[in-house]
Amino acid sequence: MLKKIKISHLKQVISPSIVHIHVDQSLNAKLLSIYIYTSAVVSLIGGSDRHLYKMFRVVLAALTIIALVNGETCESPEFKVVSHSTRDARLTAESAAQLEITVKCKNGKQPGTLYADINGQVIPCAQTPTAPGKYFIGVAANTHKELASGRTKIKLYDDDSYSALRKARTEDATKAVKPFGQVELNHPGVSYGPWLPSEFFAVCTFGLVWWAAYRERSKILG
Amino acid sequence: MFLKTTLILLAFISVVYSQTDDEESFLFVTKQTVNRFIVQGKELTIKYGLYNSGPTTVFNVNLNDVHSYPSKYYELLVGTLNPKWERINAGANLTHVVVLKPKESGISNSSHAIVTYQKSEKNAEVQRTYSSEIGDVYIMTGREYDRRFSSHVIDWILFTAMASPCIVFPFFLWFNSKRKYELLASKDKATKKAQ
Repeated sequence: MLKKIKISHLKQVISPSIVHIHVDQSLNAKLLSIYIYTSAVVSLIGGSDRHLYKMFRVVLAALTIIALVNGETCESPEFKVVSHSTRDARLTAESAAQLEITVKCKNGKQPGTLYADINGQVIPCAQTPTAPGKYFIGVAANTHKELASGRTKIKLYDDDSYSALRKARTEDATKAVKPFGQVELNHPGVSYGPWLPSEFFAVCTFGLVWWAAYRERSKILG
Repeated sequence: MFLKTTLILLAFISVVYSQTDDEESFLFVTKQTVNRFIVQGKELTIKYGLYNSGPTTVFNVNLNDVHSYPSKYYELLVGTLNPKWERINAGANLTHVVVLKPKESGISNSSHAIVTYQKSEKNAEVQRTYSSEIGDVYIMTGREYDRRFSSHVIDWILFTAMASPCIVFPFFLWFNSKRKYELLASKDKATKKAQ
């Protein structure tokens, strides 16, 4: 009878924790083992003392969740951005820009999926299987004027902040969501070619030469 | 009468069955170039637009266009030819930009990009779709493009250098004779005044 109670208590303790763990981390594995061990011990000792058992369970659950959160997310990320945009307006009919972001986290983890807020629209960033730390964002504009020249700030969201953003219903709540980071898109603008073509200068120079000669000629003849 | 009702019933059933496709999402992929001209040695920008029509999210989207632009003929400058997205929400419109540099001139054909995605997270069945294609394009040589669009400053400088003997040499002759004549004229005036 006592053995049955212990096993059922153990099952009650283990199953919710298994639901929460989905990514491997050595820290989490250690904590999970501590959790299971301690709750097993508690259930063995204080099988009938329900209040103590509940308290222990709550405290351990809180600790596990904290460890999970700290273990999975990326802390204090550093961004290295390479931005490229169409510069020549005679070669291209529309403007397009591409950002290549390399994210480096202090605890060595990668953020998973990143979402970027471009002109009010939040879209996921592309990744490539060959380079795991890089994220790509593409921006396309229909005319050259639509892609703003200069520096445009782009906010980045990771999975957690993105889900918080989706849940936010009001304007204030949306603004209150803390983004994962912020990068800048630097678009130096498009060039249509030189202001004055070189033919203009050639015509001016030769025109001056001709005018000087004509003046001398009229002086001689007239 | 009976036949009519049966036919109408069959029509309704077929309409209902055909409408179940609205439940699923479909990913439309377009592939375009923003260039007016494709020039050898200059940047070629290609943009892939992905649009998720339909009410559900698509997962594990993989775009593969490596076969269209072999590295022997194209150099990849910016972006990747094999991007992947973990999820694209319903109604989302994404753009992916790739910048290449053609190494050779002539006519070249770029075919469809292959996109694979899963319609649901649990169902591992992969749906395969193709993007639109750009088709045959003519890659002009750098010289052709420069003939039309470069700033020609060097050409004008060379032209001036070549044309200057034709102008400078007669000018020099005239200038010498003018100086001689003016010298003579001033000498004459001086002697006349002295007289």
